[in-house]
Amino acid sequence: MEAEVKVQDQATNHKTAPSQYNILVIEDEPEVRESYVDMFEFLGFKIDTAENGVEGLAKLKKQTYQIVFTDLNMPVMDGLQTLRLIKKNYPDTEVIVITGFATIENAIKAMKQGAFDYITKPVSFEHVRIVLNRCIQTINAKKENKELRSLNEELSKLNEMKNKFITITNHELRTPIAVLKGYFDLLEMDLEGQVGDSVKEYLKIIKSTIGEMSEMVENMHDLSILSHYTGHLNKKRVRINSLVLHVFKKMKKLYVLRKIQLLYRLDENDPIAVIDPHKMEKALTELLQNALKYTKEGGKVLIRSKLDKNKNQVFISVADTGIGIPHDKIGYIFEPFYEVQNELHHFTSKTEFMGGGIGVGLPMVKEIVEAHNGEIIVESTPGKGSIFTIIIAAES
Amino acid sequence: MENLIKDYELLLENLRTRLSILNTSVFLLEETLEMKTVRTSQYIDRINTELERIRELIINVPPAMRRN
Repeated sequence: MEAEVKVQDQATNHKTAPSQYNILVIEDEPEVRESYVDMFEFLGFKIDTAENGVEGLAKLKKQTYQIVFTDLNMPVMDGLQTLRLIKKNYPDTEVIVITGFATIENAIKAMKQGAFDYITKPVSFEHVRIVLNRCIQTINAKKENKELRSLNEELSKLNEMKNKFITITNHELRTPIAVLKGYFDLLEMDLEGQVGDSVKEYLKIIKSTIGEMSEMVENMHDLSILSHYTGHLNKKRVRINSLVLHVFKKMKKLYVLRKIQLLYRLDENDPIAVIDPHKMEKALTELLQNALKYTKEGGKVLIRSKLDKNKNQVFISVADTGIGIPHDKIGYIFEPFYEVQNELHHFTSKTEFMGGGIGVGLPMVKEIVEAHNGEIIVESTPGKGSIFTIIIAAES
Repeated sequence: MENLIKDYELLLENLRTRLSILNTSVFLLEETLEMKTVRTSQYIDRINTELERIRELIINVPPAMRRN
């Protein structure tokens, strides 16, 4: 009984008991066969026997055996042939061969053909117990690996489905929001000049809420696209000064509208970098929109390019005289859906521009910059302003 | 990927909040209007139809697509 407990103890490490394993013993000599049966049953295994390879294969066809013990020298079909057929048809079944010293070369041959191990005659009870325990550990490890592989495959499929779902739903959300906005504009025009203050207030709320929804979906779309395609940047040689000037001109009108001074300063060396111009334009536009959002009327925003010849890096910075970011919040600003300041701090009107955002603009900038193997740093003094600097490699 | 799902779920949550604001505001707007022309009613109907479409998109997230 002591032996059984030992086997179970070791097997328990793998959360299994010997009785869960079916063992088939293929041995032509009845007395030897009987001794094996007694030994395995004593160890607590379920045991079945066959007189030769042919009978053994017939039993394997009907039932699953995790382990097969087979003698090598047998009439009808020898052990090596039996082993080959078992491994070919039942690769998950482990085969342990039993051999006399005279046929040790065959035992090694058997190992090369996929046998788990070999036991020499006369069979030692202790040796059998050790080999069996190792075999069970291997079976369990293989099973766990198989389960993990299948789980991984399932997870990967699920992720793929989720990805697809996000892209489709996101795309599908844009259409009804656009239609909604269209009908709202018509309704607003239809009611213009003939409604009271309460209706005006409701119209204002509806308009601003639609604007927020639209912005959320747009930004999420950008973010999901970026997560998928940051590896597929359409890079080319770009004159950074031209890019900065282009973004400056694009944003200038909005700044004039909000009575904020937008300035630019370009590096006289006209730095060049290999980047995706559209994505980088998006990043710079986001930074200027961010500056616009948090800068008071009469404030200043400066966008500038600078080449560091020693480090061969281009710096593109956006400095504002806005409200700044509290020191303890700087670490969070690049996290999606995090906005340091609540909308009361936005100096833009919620209905006219992009106030009331959901905080995906800066994370998007970070995604773009990192996709270019660049870096974005932020320096800020609450009450005085912030400087966002994008650092990317310059063309040497 | 997990982050993207999390972001998306947050987006849905934010959209649901906005959607309920819109539903309430459109309802109150309709109730407050003293005179409604056929055209005004048509526009409001279309707005409600689109709101319902958005609601279905936001609400009907298949269980397999949810994180938990």
